[in-house]
Amino acid sequence: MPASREPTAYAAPALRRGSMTPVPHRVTSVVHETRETVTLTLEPVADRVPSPVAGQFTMLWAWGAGEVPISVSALEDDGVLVHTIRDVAGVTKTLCASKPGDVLGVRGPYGRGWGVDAARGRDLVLVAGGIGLAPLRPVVHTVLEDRAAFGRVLLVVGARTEQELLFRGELDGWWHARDIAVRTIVDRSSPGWAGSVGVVTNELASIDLDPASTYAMVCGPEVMMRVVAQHLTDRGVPKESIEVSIERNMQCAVKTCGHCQVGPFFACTDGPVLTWDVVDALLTVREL
Amino acid sequence: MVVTTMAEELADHRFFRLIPSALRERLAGCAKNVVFAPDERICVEGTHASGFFAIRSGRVNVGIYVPHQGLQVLETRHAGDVIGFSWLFPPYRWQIDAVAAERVHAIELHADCMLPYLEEHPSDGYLLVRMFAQEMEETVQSTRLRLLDVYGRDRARLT
Repeated sequence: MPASREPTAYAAPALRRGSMTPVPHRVTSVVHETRETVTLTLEPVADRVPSPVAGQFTMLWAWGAGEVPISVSALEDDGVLVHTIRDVAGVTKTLCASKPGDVLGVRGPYGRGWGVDAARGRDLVLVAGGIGLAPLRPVVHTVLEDRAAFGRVLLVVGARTEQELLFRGELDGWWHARDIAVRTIVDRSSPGWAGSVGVVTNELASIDLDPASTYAMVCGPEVMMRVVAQHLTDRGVPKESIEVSIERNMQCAVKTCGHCQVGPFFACTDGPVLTWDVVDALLTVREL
Repeated sequence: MVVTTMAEELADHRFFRLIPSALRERLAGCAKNVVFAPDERICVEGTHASGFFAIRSGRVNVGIYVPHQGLQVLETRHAGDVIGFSWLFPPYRWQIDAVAAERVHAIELHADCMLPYLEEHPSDGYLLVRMFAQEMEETVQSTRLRLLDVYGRDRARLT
């Protein structure tokens, strides 16, 4: 029994920087990519998190709303982070409503990124669907910075509509630069649309591939990734040369909560990028 | 200058690559090369379906004309694809419009030439119909995937 009814004077616990402690970052720019997608640039308020690699994600924390895993959509220096976020309600709605000057919490970066080094010296096929272009964008930047290190490079981008295509300006620039072949395909056309209409595999089917020298990175809705990976394996691309970025309900991001478990793997630490030989059989298990 | 026969050109096309050379030779007799300029109509809904087209290069937009809205493009066909199933079935009328999205080189195969032969040679007819059935299955599967709306909010990935 305390001698006094005065509230106990708690000393604030010394905040120990650990993997679960969000690091404050300030929003320095907000770019509205589409009607429901924004790209946020974040700078550390004080402490930095380690620099991410292409394909990794961080846990972005909006004060009072919660935390979600978001892939990095560009690699910057000096602790700057770039994330592209789609408003699908909940925490993402709050994140997308961020304004320059707002402070968000960042944990990470986490996970296994794209095997860019494994792709060097080979033809590279990038297939992105919807927001899936965001995690692949740093790969494109890396390729463009070191173009001679790769063989033929093809980027196929699928979206619901032309208006929902991400990074339109950059896509046009990549296409005009002709350093990489860019193909766009939408589910539904609109007047004036000059790209293709259909699914990404329609576009892939029209392109000659050298299966033995092809390395593929696929990011999009799981159904799309499954169809694309199957298409590529049907054409002879080895499963271990196909990478997909799986998405599950990542909550802790440190292999503790178990929410993102896919069979023997944890999407947060073993993934999100995994090769198709590893996940092929798992993604068709309905209970997973 | 390298001169190729129509049978060789068919052999170079994905759709015909796996069929026996004898049938390919026969089909070559029903085929001719055609070129379409950008925006040129390749077939028109409701008109007689006189055959099908095997695209050698370029893209073709397939769709349906909607009054006051123009062609509503439903899918884009590429090199290696074929356009036209309507020549196989009564009433032999095109069910779709097809317009060249860019300069298109194609091989046109004529139904009047093919159908009598295929009726008389059911094993060849069966083979060709199976190949078209596979094309149709792929088209149906693509359509199913789009109906699923994989890029929509409900199925969107977060990251």
